[in-house]
Amino acid sequence: MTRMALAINTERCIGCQTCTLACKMQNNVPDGMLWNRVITEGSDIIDGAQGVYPDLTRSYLPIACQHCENPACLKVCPTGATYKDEQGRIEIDYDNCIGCRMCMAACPYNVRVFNWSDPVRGTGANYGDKDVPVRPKGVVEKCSLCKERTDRGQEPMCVQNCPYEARVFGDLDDPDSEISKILRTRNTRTLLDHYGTNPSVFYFA
Amino acid sequence: MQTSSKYKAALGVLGVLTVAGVAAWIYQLMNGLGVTGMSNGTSWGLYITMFMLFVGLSAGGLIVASSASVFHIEKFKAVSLPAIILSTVCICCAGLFVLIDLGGIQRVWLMFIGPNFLSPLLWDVCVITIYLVLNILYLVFMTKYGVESHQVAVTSRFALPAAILVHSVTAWIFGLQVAKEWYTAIMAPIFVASAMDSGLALLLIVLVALNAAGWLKFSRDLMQSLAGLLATCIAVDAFFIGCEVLTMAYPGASGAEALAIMGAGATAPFFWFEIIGGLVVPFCVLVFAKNRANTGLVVFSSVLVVLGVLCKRIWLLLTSFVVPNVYGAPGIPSGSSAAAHASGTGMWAVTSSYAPTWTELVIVVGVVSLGALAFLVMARKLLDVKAAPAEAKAADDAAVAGSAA
Amino acid sequence: MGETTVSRRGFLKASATVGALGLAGAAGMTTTGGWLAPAQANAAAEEYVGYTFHQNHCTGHCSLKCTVRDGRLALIEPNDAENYQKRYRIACVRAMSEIEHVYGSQRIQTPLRRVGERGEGKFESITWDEALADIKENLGAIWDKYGKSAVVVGGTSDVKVRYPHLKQIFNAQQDGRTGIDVGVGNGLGPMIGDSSSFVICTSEARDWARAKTVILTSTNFLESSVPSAKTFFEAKEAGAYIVSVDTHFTTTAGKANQWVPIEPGTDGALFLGMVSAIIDNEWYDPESMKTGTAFPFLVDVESGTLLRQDPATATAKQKGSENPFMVWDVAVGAPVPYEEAVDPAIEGTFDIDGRTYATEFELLKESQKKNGYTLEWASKVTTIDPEVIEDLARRYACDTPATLSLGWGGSDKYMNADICGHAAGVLAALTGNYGKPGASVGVHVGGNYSGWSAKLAGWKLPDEYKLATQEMPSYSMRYEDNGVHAYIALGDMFQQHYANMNVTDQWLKSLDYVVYVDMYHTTSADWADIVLPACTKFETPEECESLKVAYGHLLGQGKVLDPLFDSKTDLEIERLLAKTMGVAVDDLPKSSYEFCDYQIAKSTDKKLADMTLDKLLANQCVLPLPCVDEIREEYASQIKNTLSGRFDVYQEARLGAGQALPVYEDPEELAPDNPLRDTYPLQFYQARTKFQIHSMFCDAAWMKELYEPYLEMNPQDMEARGLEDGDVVEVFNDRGSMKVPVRPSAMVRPGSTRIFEGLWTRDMIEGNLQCLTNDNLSPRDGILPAGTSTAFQDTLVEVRKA
Repeated sequence: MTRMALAINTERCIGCQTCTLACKMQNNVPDGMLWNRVITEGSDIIDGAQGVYPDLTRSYLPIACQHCENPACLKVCPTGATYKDEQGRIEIDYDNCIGCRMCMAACPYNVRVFNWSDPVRGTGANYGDKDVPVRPKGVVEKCSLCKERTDRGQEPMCVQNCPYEARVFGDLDDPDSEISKILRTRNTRTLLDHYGTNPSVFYFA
Repeated sequence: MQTSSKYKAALGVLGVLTVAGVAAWIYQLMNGLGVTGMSNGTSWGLYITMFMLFVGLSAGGLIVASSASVFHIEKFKAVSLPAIILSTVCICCAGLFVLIDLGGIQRVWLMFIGPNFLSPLLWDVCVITIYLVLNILYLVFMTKYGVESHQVAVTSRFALPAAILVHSVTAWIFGLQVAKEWYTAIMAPIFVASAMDSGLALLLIVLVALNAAGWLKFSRDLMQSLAGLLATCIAVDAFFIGCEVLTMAYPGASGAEALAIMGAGATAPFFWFEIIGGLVVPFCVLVFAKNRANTGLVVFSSVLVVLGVLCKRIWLLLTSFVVPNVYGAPGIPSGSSAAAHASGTGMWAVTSSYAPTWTELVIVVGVVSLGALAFLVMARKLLDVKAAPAEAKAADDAAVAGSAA
Repeated sequence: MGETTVSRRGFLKASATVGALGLAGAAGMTTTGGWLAPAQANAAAEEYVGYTFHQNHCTGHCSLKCTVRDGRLALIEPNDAENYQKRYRIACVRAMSEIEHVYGSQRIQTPLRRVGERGEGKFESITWDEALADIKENLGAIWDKYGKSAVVVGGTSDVKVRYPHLKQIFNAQQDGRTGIDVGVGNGLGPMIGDSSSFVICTSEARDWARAKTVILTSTNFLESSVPSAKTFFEAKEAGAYIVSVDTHFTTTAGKANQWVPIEPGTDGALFLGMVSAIIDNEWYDPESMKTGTAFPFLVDVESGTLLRQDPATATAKQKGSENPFMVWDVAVGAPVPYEEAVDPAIEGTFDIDGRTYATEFELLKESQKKNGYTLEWASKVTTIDPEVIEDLARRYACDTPATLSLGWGGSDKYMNADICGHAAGVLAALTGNYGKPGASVGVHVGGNYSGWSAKLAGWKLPDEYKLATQEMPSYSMRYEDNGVHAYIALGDMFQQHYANMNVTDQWLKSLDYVVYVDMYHTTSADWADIVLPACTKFETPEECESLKVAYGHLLGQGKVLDPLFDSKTDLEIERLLAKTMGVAVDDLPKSSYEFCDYQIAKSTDKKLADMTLDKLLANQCVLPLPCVDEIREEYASQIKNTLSGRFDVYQEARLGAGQALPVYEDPEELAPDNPLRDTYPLQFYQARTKFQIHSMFCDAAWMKELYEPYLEMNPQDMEARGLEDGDVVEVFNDRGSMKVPVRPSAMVRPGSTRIFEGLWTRDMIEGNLQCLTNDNLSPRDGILPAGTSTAFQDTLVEVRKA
């Protein structure tokens, strides 16, 4: 079995948003929508800090679909458009999505985006991987763990392009993978673990 | 039919509003749900609010009608027919609101060929369908075989549990979502309770109106009973809400944050209107037997209850959407229509807000008008309107007027 | 254009319409087939891959693999050539934004001619022939009337490097002495033999992983140097203790082991406080001071001149090899030439021939005492606790090897930057933290400068094509009498290089002719008479457009796209201008391919010996230099270039200003006792950001989704002024003003305001940030090796609700 997963070293993340735009580019994500983003945790302003000068802290949190083992979004989808594939990725069959947005209400992480209108791209054309489906208005989309790339044996674009090598992609079921080693040797955490969604995205510092 | 011209005028106005609603819906189909005020943060809005409201409103009719048969409450039988018409119309409106809310309505059939039985939304579609079928059967049997018939009695034995279930399942669409403030076991009881009070309230309003129009004889005695029942339902509803609010507030943890939004934040006007206008005031009015005999006060209280429940749907739904669980700038890609037209950082929302657009409002008015239109047409056709003696009506009017004095 | 004239605005409108049609097309594409059409991939499309390299401004020159589909950019990834190591495979957020930016709304699409007043920004679209005819007429007239030296060819680093021949073939003045990035170098440069005054560190930042202590002062390295910023984390993970001394809680401060908040413009005082702590606690390294530095050199106490073997012929600029410096040799009890001493004294005062001499170190100790540079003093100036300063000094001196990294964005841009650089040098010289693994002092920004490089052959032009003598520093050209009548600007020169934009504006309006060449319509373009559209690094009709040796690699700009719109490649523009003006017509390379081939083939640099253009193109436009695996450590050899061949501490050239040893001076406007502070109590700080490189990418739509201009203020300063999040404010001082929204941010130091440098006027509500900045000359202008370094950060403002 394979369980594809991501580990993100937040110590190495400086909030540069390369992953944000790398994902947008690879997956032909239209303007005003993003599958992946980096938030400045708890801050009202991007790159802000928490506390009162000079007693300040700042932490960045790259956030996209957590590819949960127990995904809240998957259960609620009335048509099964959201599904878990054999590699443990949570995917959306866009042709099956009826746009009820039940999954958006269920996802604890606000990582699903809806095509509220016809997608608009300032470039005037589609970009990204040629194998990535173009989504019409009225369907939900989100991080696919770069399905098209990982199917070809490549890393997700956000992992490949991270300038700080803060992101590690791999197979949790392979004990020799780098990500398995990180899980064994580092203190990792998952987001909102009290919900029991059991994400496949791990954060460590 | 004395009020033929008024009736025609009403049909005309409702027809125009319905057409406007359909036009707005076509506009929405062409341009996508971006024409609404919804966004990736507040991904459900007025349509789902109205869906919840109308599922609840349909409860009153069916519960009164089927109680008449199941519990042999004879005096309810007099209003069984209008009650069941009302119930049918309301559940149809509820269903329409769900369909209108879909981004890909052209693919809705996929739900039936490849259903995911874990989805509460699917359960709800099934239960509502069953509920609608029971309503229609009820209606058919009642008009064909009469209110005392065996067929009606059998149907009502299924209808009552179906009514309880339809509200519970609707509640579970929300109440089973672990990541939202909706996640509470009391959600289903609250939905049932508020369905009963709002449904009864609407039924009361409609019956008084039908009586006033002379389409039906609605005795003061029956009004008093129903109003008494309404007061009880309000009390139950208030009790459940009290339980929920206390449970949210007491630990002073994350629930308190949501409570702050309800109590003093974006959804506060709706919360407080519901508590005071929707629960406290009507209960205080209806708890006194004398007031329950006063048509004016009963209608006033009923209207408050329906509005209160509408407000409850609003705060219940929207409060959970305001602050994302994982909080921080730049926030979430808003996706709202405003953000779609904004360039640059206008695309983000750190916290989410929502206000319905004109398109949404016109569509909602259209659906409600269509419901009212259907009710009028069905009521006129199915109630033996011509048989209602003018004198009886006048006498009854006098009685009602007397009680109001 | 004939009779039709389109204003720039009208022109933009027209292009917006075209853009809108494009959008409609894109929308149509996604809905074709109607509702029931399945979501389709672009499977049928035609794709190819091209390679180029990215920005010069951040110095990354990251080699990029670009996928083009149906003639449009589809993907930009790091080059995956096998021998291009993971360390260098960078395609950062700015590279990603190029997917849109290359086609962006602010691309200059056609040549433009000014139709309004100069600086007004109104243009009409014209043809290349019309543009060149205009240049021929107007530039020709200036040549005829004033001579060729009346023309300046200048530009910003990313654009001008691509026009290597233009200023020579036009016999123009160049924009030397720009006053940029040479602030700390003015003090540190002569100490370490860096004649450029940029004080770029070799060892490169990869070396930090071998340090125990790394102190970064006023440099937001993680954002300003994204391509080499991995080194920061490598060092931290290898156990280096990283300290960020910064006015604001920058990204770098947030990732360091320790953030030391400091009053802006007082880094020099911190260093001098540390110097005192090191001396008082005897944490200095006497052995390296004796043999590697000028500390033992004897100075005439009365005159302040260094004692030379032959005092009669001594001058301040004389090399030690020509006239050796003298030291007191304890072994012989007499002064001897410094290279001959067995045991030179580093301390003490000596009477020689009736005059009193002290060692440089002795004078330093005295200077520190006399000037009262105690920890308490340093604490008062910098607002850093004395214990923290002492601890920093201990770490720097004792937890060695230690690196002191200065940057160009912070301490470099105050009026006292040279003193700061000088003091930093003293710290390194005292502790021996230079010229060995893990120990270096200077600027580490940009792997290009500090990493390995090699010299490509320059195209040989006939001797007649030489630069004209530059009359004066570029910044002085704006207000001093001079013979300049025309300016050919390559890139966003006028906004980026000059403070006090209202002065710049007056000057530019007084010129006879301004030509602007660039890819994007920056703020500077608005002063032009003629604007020429250049290709981006993604566009060329040829197999290879240009070359660069940077960050350990030979890089090629291969073909990704054909030239977009009506833009032309740099060499093509050079050739067209040459032909238009009738100079060097046959002397320039005939094609970019020929030029690239020549640059490699004729290079005498051994590192390029095995390379050819064909090999480069065959290897995806990137070839590592043979030495790429080793960390470049040329620092020690650079020190050989000082006057003494050692780490020079005492600077005789600065004696006239009383600065032979660093004597602290407050920043100019920011000085605590400056009466101007009553009117303008806030510092105006321009910060570096990962979202831009100077003024580039300000217009990239994808980047604008992440950042749009606003002023950051500490919440308490906003509250004091009754300002709320999102309010539009006027930022102003006596020089000018600008309007922009304000946002509260706790990371900003109270008393300071913060905004990203380079923002275009177009994106502000009103004005430009350079309308505010300080363009005063340094009081030491005459003695600074690189002249005044513009003190952009040494600017006071007040903020009020607009």
